[in-house]
Amino acid sequence: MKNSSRALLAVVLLAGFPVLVLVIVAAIVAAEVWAIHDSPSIGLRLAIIAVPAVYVLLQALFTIERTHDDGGSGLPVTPEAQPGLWALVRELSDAVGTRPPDEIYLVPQVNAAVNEQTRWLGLRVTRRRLFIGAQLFAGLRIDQFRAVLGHELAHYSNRDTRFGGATYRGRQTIGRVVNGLNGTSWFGRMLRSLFHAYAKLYFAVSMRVSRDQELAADAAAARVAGTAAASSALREIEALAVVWRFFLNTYATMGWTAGYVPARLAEGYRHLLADDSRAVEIDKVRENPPQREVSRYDSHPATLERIAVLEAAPVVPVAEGGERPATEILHNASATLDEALLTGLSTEARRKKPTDWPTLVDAATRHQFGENATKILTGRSLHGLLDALDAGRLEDLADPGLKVPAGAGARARRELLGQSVRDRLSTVVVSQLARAGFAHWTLSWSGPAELTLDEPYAESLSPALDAAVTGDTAGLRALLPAAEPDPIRS
Amino acid sequence: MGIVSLLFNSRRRKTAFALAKAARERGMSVAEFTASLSREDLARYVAPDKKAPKVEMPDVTKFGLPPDSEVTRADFVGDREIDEARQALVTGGWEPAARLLTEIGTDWDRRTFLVRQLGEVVANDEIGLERWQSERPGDADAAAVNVESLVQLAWQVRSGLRAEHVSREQFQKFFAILESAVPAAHEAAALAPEDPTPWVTMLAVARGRQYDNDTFREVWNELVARDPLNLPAHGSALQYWCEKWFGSHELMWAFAEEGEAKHPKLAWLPLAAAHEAEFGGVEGAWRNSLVAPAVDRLLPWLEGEGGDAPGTATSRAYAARALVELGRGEEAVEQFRHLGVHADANMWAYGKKGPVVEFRKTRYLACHLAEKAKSTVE
Repeated sequence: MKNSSRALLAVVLLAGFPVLVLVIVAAIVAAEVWAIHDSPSIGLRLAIIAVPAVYVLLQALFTIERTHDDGGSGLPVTPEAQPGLWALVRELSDAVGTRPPDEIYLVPQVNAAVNEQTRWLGLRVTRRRLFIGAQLFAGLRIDQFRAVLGHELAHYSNRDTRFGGATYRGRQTIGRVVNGLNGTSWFGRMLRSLFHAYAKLYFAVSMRVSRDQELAADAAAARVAGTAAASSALREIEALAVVWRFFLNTYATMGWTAGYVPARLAEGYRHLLADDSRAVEIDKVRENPPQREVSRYDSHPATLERIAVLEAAPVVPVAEGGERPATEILHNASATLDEALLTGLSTEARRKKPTDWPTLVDAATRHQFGENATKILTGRSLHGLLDALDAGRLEDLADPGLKVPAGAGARARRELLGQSVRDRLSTVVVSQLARAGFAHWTLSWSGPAELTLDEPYAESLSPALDAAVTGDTAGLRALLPAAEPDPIRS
Repeated sequence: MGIVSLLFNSRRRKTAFALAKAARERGMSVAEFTASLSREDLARYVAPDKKAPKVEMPDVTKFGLPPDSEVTRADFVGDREIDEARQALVTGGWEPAARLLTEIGTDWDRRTFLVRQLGEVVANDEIGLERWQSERPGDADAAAVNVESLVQLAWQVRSGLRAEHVSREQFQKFFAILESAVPAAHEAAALAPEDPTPWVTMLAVARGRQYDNDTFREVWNELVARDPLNLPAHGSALQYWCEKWFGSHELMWAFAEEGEAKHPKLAWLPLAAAHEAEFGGVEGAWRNSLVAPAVDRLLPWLEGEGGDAPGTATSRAYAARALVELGRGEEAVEQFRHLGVHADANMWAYGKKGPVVEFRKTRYLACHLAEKAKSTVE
């Protein structure tokens, strides 16, 4: 079967989707009417099943309707505010043979997408929106950025496959319906499996079409940006996604419990991407993009496969100037991207205080140390614990969760407890020094925040801790700041 | 209770199904059929309990072996003098240990064995060693015991469990202690340049610290330059060359073959290799062509000169296991007679059910084979 006739069949199947729903609803209603006529008691029993079923079905149909109205999120950018970006998008739309979007949004995602408001189950388009991840601006070169936008816009050009756009939309719509049908009743589950089967059929028909569409969109991307740009963009996006997750977990949420969020998210992300000692790890991801299992419902072939296809095709050279950072396309890039990333923050995050990175790292780590110290002390005073160490009672301060192996003798036990005691004692003391203003943490994009102690602590804390673990706490006591709040509360 | 227990108790379920099937075949209802059966007939339909052994075990006492209930995994030191020195050190008395080490002199196998025993005592409590060192500063014997104790301490901290069950703190301390053992070993070696024992200990340090093959060979060369036939050292090195550590099946077998050729007392090495290979998942590991000749070389040594040499208990354990694999039941039983109640050789601990069960199982097999051989002759 030719792809165009496949696509036509896919469109028919898509149009058949609501028909299927209505046929089932009609069948249930007919059965109910017959049953009431025949025997009211059976009719009543049937109604117990039938009413929620019809509800679920109509809800399913409603789900389709709802997908027509995906609310825009992210930061809207007008042609007036970002003329450079709009000019580029128009140029690329023209180059791939589709009309430019009506709206552009910058979104806090490592992704770009075109989305349409449609009527008639995606057969008629009313409004087209382009969503561009701020992370792509932050991490891509101009040529790679062109490739990504070229790919997304090309999905809506009918140049390569007839009905291609409709099939693409249909795939997205049915996928969302199946995912949206999450009824918990047995009937709901049964319906879900029925629609699942229908979706499978639809996806089987449109699979080839969509695979070819992805590859065609890749080819279009290569045409507008150059082969090297298109293939390196695919690798780069995988790397950007990995780094973004790491950035979110390690840096962006660092001040969460202390009540801070970073004011300059995009700036931090770009620093992390540019860090020399992280570069080796990031290069590894570029070389070996994560081999995710490609889902049956994923319209994209695996990244490495797409790269292989791109590289097998005749090479399109990259235009000059493509190596510059994509941020140059934006007017006032840094602030704009920060603002776009902030749209991703939850309402809870919005209540926290936006702070610059050095302050955030110092305050967040100090807070973390304070919390850990509180946990370790559990209402006891440090001096009390030092008394316990003087008496040789390591277990008072060691991590209660520490497991000493069954075969360990007294000496091994002491070694293990000693290690734990030293770590925990250090946390408590450093936390007190930080409170007194003698300990600071410096931001590092290469690793954890670095602790700096003022003198004399930098010199003498470590040996004092060693001595304390062996039962000689005099040195450590002498070092402690004079006014110890006792017991510590955070 | 009937139906529910049928669902959850597989033994009950199997019994019920078997009865139902038999009743159907006879055209009777289950109740009628069961009523028609005698107690004994009914018992045949009861599915076997998996927990109970399926085969009647031979009575090992008939073969002159101690009963099952007496088998123990507890460490046993057959060498009286060594045991006494060890006991004394437990209570802080270091003089017997120092005296015995002087007496033993260059009997390196026995010295290594003693240093291991003393190291274990010190790993538990360093008080005896501290007195020893304060009263005899710079004593080479004390230094050798110190290194050995550090390695054993490190392993106590780490535990013998697989890495995923070892906590970060344990690993941190394990490596820290092993690291401190290196200068301690070099110090001991400097105090007694001809003594192989610090180098035997260094083999274990090398394994724990994950030395690469070439660095390990450097340590090995130091050892063989001092004592080319050291028995515990060969056992330790064989471990290093195992696939589970830093070698491969090929390297392990090659090392075992080379060792076996050096001396009959090392002829247990191919047996240890087969044992390791078996637990490394190799099918038919015991059928390796090195096994049978190694057993034939080892047995005369165990009967003669090596009868009560240090490390013989381990050699006998491997020999017993190998003889069972070779179908030589009577000879295996003979080795078990020597082993008595002691399932303390490390090799018994490889099985999932623990050393005592493994020891008994191998004993049963030995007796079973011996019985079979006897009845064939009769």
